[in-house]
Amino acid sequence: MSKSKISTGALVALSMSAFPVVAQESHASKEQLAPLFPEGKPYSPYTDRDFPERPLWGDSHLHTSLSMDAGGFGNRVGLDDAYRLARGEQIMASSGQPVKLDRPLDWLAITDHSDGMGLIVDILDAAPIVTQYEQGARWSEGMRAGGQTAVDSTLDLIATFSQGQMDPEMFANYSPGARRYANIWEDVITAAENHNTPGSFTAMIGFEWTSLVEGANMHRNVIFRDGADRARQVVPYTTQHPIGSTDPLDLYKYLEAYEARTNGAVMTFAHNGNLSNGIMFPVDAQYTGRKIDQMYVEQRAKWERMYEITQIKGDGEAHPFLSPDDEFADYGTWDAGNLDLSVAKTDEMLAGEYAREALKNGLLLEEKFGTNPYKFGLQGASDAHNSIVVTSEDNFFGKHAGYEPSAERLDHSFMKTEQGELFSWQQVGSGLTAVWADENTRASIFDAMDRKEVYATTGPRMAVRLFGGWDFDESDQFSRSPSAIGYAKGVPMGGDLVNAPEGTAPSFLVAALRDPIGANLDRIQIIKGWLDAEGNTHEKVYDVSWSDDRQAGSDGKLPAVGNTVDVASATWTNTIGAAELITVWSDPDFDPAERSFYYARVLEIPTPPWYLYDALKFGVDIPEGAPTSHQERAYTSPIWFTPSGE
Amino acid sequence: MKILKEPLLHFLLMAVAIFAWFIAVDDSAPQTNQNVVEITATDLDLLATQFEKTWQRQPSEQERKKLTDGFVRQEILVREAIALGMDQNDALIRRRLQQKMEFFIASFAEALEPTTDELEEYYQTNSAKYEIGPKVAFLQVFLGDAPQQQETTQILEQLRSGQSPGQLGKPTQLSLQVSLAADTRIDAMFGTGFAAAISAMPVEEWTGPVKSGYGYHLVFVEQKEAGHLPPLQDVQVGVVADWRTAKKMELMELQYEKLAARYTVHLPSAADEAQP
Repeated sequence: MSKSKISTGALVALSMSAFPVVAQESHASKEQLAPLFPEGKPYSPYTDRDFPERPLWGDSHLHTSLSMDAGGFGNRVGLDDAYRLARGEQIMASSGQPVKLDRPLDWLAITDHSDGMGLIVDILDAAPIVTQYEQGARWSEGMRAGGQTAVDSTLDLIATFSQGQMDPEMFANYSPGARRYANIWEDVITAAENHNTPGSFTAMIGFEWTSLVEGANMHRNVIFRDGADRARQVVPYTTQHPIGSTDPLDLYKYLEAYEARTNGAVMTFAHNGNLSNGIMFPVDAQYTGRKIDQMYVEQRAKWERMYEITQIKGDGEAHPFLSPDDEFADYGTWDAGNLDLSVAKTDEMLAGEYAREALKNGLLLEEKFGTNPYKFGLQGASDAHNSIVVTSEDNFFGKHAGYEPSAERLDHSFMKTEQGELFSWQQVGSGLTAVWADENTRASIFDAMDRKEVYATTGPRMAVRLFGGWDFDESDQFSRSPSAIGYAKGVPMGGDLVNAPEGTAPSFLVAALRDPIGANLDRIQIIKGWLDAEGNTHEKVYDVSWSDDRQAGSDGKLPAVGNTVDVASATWTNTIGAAELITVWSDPDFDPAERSFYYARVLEIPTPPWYLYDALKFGVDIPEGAPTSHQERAYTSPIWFTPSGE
Repeated sequence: MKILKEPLLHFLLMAVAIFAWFIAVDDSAPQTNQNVVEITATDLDLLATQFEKTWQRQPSEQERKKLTDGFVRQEILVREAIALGMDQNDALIRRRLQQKMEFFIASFAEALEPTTDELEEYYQTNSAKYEIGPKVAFLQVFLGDAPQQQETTQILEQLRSGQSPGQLGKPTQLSLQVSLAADTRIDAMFGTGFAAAISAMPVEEWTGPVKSGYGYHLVFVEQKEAGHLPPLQDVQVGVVADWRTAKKMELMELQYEKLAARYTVHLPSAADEAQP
């Protein structure tokens, strides 16, 4: 007893002598501080409104001629022109036709493949660094010859690379550690610096890490918050041994090392789980056989802040097999096989591929390990390989240079092997990312992505707000400034709800405003996923706001909005649907003991897909089996609810 | 002395200086015998350094020998190839030489610094590229996509008599107040053409209706900021870089023209071309 008294006394003495040294210089009384924090709200309703008025639109995934497969397939549009197009200027596409966007983007991340970045450009330039090798000289000569010789050379190059038969010495020049590789990365950075104009256009520095294991896609993009000074201190991470790796855990190490070395910030986000044949979102074990453990879930949650849910190679929100009750789940579905169609798809693979299922399984893994590895924001991109971002169906330049507008592009299949076939018309005219950032700068956009205040659309620029809280009431939907109320009373998309008040279900303020030059809206849906006490996951789609005063039928389903698409003229009218939808919705099935998430899906009225414009402009037939209208959509990042006592 | 300011003169003086320097420091033995391959210690050091750059380590003894042998081999074969005229009419070699020559000329431009006057002149000539577009700040009241004339007039009167715009017109998610924003930003919110339409409206007065992508609006333009050219010092870094790029092109052309002037080019006559 006395001993402990002495030690306490010693502690007090210590604190008296040591702590004042680090204490602040000024002392304030309660009376002095009080006037600085006046009670109540300011008189002026316009004060403190520092939330964004509109989202910033961009593409987080675009390839230029620097990417081996892009350049190989004929992309001759480099970094500068890719930026110029995104900024609203007219450029010449690789196929020799002029192209211009309907509206400029606010930001762009060019993400060329890190493996062999720039090699193809040097081959086309007949640079001595490649022509000194037999392969390089042969391909260079072939590609410069044009015509069928060029096509054959390209196919030979791609086959040689995928079989791992590239001259290792030549390829080493396009890998980390080589001077040429560093110079190419420097070009990427310089182009971004030249086009980055804080306030009006942001050029994010980034690359794609192209992990492919037996044709199963685990690709991820990496984007930096930082500018040239920090990005120059590294080169992109690759997948080729011994420097690179195909294991995401090794990519995380690279990201960790970057931050430690530069004091900067970086993140990664995956895409095309739909082509991963089940290995994108593992639940039990990684593709390596390594068990999913605490380290894996923590690392994945730390670095993978978003998921690219929609792009040209398919829409990855939901699959009809996994979500049989969701009548809108079958949109842009690519489920023939893996990335190169070398292995066909089976039903068991689907659960490891789609975002909604991953969000659900994330709850399960969180229950098990205390961290949710699949707590990601949702965003969309084009992944175009011809340097031309996709912003509207009537201006679709395809996946790569070989699919730029022509009377023939609908004829040949996009991909065909013994395992299956994908048709040209199945390319999805997708997508864009909307970011609720305060400012159009790298830092502000990155930070909004980091807090998941982002959403995906399949192209149209509808403004979508989602806020979750405990005390939204119906009158909030009639407010003239819903976002002010949303931020004041709740959390925005990407946020968390905790500490459920006794007997209260979460309520959501959700609002959508159609694209100012686009189609009206059909409905807003809230998609809920949850984990029950037995450890089973569930999902439910709620229609929460819709146009035209429709009444749900006896089966609880809302009737379809209608269809104004005129196939022959590829037009539609805004005579159905609504320009704006807004509502407050409260979860009728809430259980405060269950982990859950909620995200909004906003559907447009039916509009013509890109190939209807092709049919009209080139006078060709609409491909057999291709739908003549589709409902474009937005997917917001979820808001997660976690029960108390965690 | 206008000639002292002539970039071409600067260029030529620099070229002379560099050649003089090369001659001054070139202490390698003159090659008297064509069949002697002289390898200096400097050559070997260079080979070792190149190896180290690639492999991040020193070459071993064996590797050193291989490097040296390779170097000798290359030297001999290159000499023989040149003797046989193999460097002639090779597209790759010609292209490389052309590239080297262009780099050589361009490298002078990289070092050039514009004078204040030069930069100012360049800035003014290319001002369109640096101009900051017009901006406008406004309030808007939404009338829907098919407003009645009578209702519009009534709301306009209410606004003009000082009633707060906050609760007038139709509810909308569009911002009531848009702070000073560029045309592109306003068009992104209201649809293409809206910024141009409100920019034409008088300031500090409720007017309209103006058409947007959603319907019609009454607007109160609070402030207009004309497009303008920012002071040069605000954008100097970018302008200097652009000036240098332009200068580089100019110098390349000048130098090429100068060299080309020493040559007479014979093109086939129309009659020759007609021959198969």
